[in-house]
Amino acid sequence: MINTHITEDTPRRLRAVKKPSTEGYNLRYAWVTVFSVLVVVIISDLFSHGHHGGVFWESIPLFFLACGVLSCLILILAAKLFGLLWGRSEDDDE
Amino acid sequence: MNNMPPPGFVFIIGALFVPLLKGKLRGAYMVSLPVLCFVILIFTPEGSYWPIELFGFDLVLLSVDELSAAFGYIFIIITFIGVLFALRSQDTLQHSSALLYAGGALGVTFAGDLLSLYIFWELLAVASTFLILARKTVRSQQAAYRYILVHIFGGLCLLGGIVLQIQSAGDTTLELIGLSSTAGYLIFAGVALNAAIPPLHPWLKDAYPEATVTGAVFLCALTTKSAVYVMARTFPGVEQLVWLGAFMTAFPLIYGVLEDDVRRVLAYLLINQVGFMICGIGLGTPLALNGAVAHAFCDILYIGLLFMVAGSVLYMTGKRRFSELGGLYRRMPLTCIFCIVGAASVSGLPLLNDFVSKSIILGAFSHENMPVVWLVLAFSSAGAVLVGGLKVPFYLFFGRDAKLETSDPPAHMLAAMGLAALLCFGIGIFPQILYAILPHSVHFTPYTASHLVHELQLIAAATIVFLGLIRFGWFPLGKGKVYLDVDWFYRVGGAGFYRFMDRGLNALNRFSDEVFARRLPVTLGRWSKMPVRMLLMTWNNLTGRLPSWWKAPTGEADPEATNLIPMGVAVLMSLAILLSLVSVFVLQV
Repeated sequence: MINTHITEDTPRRLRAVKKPSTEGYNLRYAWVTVFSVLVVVIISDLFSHGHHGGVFWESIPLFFLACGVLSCLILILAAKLFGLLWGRSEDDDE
Repeated sequence: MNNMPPPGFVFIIGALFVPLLKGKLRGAYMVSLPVLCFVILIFTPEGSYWPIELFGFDLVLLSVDELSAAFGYIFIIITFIGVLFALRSQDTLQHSSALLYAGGALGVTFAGDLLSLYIFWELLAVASTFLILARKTVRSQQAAYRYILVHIFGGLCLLGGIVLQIQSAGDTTLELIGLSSTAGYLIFAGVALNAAIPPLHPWLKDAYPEATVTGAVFLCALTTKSAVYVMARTFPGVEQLVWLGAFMTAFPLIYGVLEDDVRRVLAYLLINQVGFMICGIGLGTPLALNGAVAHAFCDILYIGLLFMVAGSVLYMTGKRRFSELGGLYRRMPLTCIFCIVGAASVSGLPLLNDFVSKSIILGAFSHENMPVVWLVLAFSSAGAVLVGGLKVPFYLFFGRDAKLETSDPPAHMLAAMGLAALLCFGIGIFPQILYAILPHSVHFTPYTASHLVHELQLIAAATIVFLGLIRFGWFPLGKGKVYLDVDWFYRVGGAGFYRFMDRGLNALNRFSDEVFARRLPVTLGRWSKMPVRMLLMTWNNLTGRLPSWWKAPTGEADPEATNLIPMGVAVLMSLAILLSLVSVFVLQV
């Protein structure tokens, strides 16, 4: 398939970029969505008492939220460290 | 009583006729094969059929039970989807290889004995190599070469284990083996290699990104899952698998965060998801085994869907890196929607299939009170959201607009992705469909209030971290970099070892050649030809002067040069040297 950037000759059908999709533009909606979901989830978790899991911390309110944030931060830090230790330029890999 | 042929044979024999057909007829023929296979499997009752005798051993080519049927169904479904995705490809070698590969996977699944398992196992390895080679690039050829070498090694381990197992057990029955003997360990090594259990996993992230656009769809579904099936059949309840699986879920995510190559990220995600299955098999309870099988079933659909999305982007844009892509949602809207479905599914979003299957595995560990493993699996679930659920769709379809001129892929590719997405939703909304084919009866309700809230918390947490990282530009995407993990040992370490041995051995060879083949014979020749002169020259070299009585003869007057020196002098010199050596020896003693 053709692989070129948009030029003057690009058909109108394919241009379709009235408003460039910058990162900030996309992220605004994502932030609003995730915070809306978060509010609903936090309220639901604080008022629900129906879980009987085998691991005690499953019943701690907002445990999964904290666990998720911590897990992702650990993962990112580990990735940064591994990147420093093991990353090599693609030319060296040839 | 069963009159149906083994489903794998439909693909294997069917593959032979693919090169004879062309155009729409070939397309219709290829699509009809999985349909025929599916019908055959539905009408095949449980039991063992097609016994044959080979080299004095009894082979059973078709053995159907709940476990094999569950894997058989999903292998046929993904073959149908894969064939649909590859419908317009003109590469008959690729089509035939894909069908042979699927036939091998079904052969492994329905093998009733160890020997037929091995035969189909090798067919699987060989046929899949062509799906990498068919890309016809230097990188794909190198990757295919490494791929087949690794799988030959794995196959040899399996064969060695099977031979020992047959020797000790006396028959070829495929049953629970366990890790209690050398045979068990060898079979385990062979199967673990195909399941990509670390540290035997690098072949997967090395080869799958280099496969053809359509070949990767088959690859991501069949090799690892047929190994998961064999694990579930031969090593259920082996505790080591729990820990290996837990490590397997967490470790690849680190590289998944870093990688810039879209399909390599998916390969790491695939290893992460297989880790959940291995954990479930290791736990070995009926609920955990159900979870492992259910997760294999669901994983094939959503990982296949994500590989199809990545393949479509590669096919339409020619780009394979996140750093070269972005902002495609306006130009590939349908592909973007399918990507979001796959990403949401791998994240475990409610109403999608992974929510059901992963819940069963986590539920099993929660019931067995294994808190450490449970924590690792929760960590990995959050990581899978970050890598598969957020990074992949964001960098492909949103984020920085790469302004690439493209559009959605052809209709048959969209149809294949649409079907996979539909099945992801179907199983997520109606999990009873999945429960009906699991090996044990299921008493598990995924849609409880607390479970929904917990899962949404994990997803929301990962999303907040991801958005924060993107907002501040801290997401560690390794642009133009390669990250070696365990393959460092055979790619860098192996190359270093080769260079070291090459230089070391060549240096030794040069030294030996110089000393023993060139200088020593010449020197010895001179000593035997002109012993007096050589002795005097040595004396001169040592003391810096010649005896006063010596007058160097020149030209024809030189008795040594003209061979006039008596033989006795040479003998005398030899005796003198010999005596001096003996004296040195005696003095040392």
